[in-house]
Amino acid sequence: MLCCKGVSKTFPSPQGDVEALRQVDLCAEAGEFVCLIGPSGCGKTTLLRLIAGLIPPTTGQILCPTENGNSPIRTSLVFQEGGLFPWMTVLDNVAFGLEMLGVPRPLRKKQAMDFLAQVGLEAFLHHFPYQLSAGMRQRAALARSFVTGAPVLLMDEPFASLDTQMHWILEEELLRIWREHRKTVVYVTHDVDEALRLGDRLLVLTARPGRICYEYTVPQEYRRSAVGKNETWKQEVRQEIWQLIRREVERSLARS
Amino acid sequence: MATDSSRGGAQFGPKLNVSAWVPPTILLFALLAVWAGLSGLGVLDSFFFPSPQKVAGTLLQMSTSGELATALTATLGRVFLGFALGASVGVVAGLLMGESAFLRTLFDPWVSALYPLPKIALFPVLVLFLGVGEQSKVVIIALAVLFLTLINTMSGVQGISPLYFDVARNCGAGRWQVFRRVILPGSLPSIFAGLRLALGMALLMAVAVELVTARQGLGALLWVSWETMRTDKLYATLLVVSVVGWSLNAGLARLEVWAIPWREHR
Ligand SMILES: Nc1ncnc2c1ncn2[C@@H]1O[C@H](COP(=O)(O)OP(=O)(O)O)[C@@H](O)[C@H]1O
Ligand SMILES: [Mg+2]
Repeated sequence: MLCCKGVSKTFPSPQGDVEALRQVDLCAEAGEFVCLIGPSGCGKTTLLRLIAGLIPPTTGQILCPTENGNSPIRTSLVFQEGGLFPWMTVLDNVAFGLEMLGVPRPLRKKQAMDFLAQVGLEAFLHHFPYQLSAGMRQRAALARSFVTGAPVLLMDEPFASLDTQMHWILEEELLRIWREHRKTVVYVTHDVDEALRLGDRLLVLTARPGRICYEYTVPQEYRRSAVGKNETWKQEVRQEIWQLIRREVERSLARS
Repeated sequence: MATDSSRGGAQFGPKLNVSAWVPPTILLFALLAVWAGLSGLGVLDSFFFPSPQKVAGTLLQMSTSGELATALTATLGRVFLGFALGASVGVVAGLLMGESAFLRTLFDPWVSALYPLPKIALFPVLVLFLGVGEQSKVVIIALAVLFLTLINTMSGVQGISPLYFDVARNCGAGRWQVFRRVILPGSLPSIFAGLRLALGMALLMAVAVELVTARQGLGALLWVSWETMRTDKLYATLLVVSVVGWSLNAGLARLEVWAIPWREHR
């Protein structure tokens, strides 16, 4: 379980403070797949960085309540460009998180190879990222995020720079691994359909300062159904969310 | 995915491209032939433009007599010593200033103020304190190298995408691990760019100070050749200087390909 309570974030800057997020409440059950949608610049990336503990919130709390009090949350991040280190081989990239956890070399190598095999990259262990296609790099990034066993996965438009086919293939790949390892996922996207394909729940953020203005729980029977099947249920909710987002985008455009 | 495998493999290193070096070589020989022809016909004044045969002969004589070896050793010694000193301080200082905002605010005004100063202008001051011997020459070379490597290294560190810092810290990397696994490799391309500029600068400085004060070295040889009106020697030495410059650059380029295998080298 992951809980953000009244989280706000203001970045100080010489041109005046930037209020990125205002009073965000977001809770995710263990193993839940939550999608975050919002106009660009509304603070989605900031929210993920807050949850990852990379920056402190200005106000509010981010908690991981367990039986014995609150524990720090272990997360793993996946960015749009994957965030693989260009100077490490695929294998070293995937093993990096384990290395930082102090896992001994033979063991971390074995585990990394395991996960790379799961994403079909066993033949590319010693390649550098520049030698891979964009889709392969994102697969490696997926392997890296799952290998550390962090219970919370934070994904920032992870497939947005891929072409449509590769996008779909990687979505399926993600779901396949996710079903196997059941992590809590917070998945940022600007694509409503993508969110409806992947999520248990959708949250819509307003233009900056970002607040959650809409929440939609995907009915159990429609969750993560195969592409092209049973699309009719989506019509209404898609329409509604698009209206909301359009309003927010226009609001942010009018202001800038 | 199979199509991607062709991109793998260890195809690092510059590719030999015949069509890239054949035409320039032909042009070079054509120019030499024109030069030799014009000299032979007496069109070119043999004092200002001694024939290529004459220059080649002088070069051969200079290398057999040991004159060239002595000069080369002196110059290369200064270049390497000054370069090693300046580059090691410059790279380390650049990494530290890139990493630490505090060190940056502390030293940046000094660096920005001193960087634009042509270091050669400091040479008289250095001679005043260190004398006309080796020390002043090595130090002036080191100074010029230091600033170039420092600035390039620092901007290299600051140019590393914040994404990589996020990823490393998200994996639990501490400050030292971030330094070793992100900052150091991430700034390597910029460090090498600085080193290449600096090595060229080191040779320039060496020759320049040798013109003024040295008894030995390529610069001294150039100056003596001029003073004694030996234009054949002047040209022969110039040729050696440019070959030295080219070799240093080529050597460093190879080192770069070896040190940065993760980048696509063209
Ligand atoms: N480190 C930072 N310092 C200052 N301002 C920032 C920083 N990170 C983000 N911002 C600002 O916060 C706002 C939200 O940014 P971001 O979270 O990246 O939006 P999104 O991911 O939704 O596009 C933007 O206006 C951005 O300029
Ligand atoms: Mg973003």
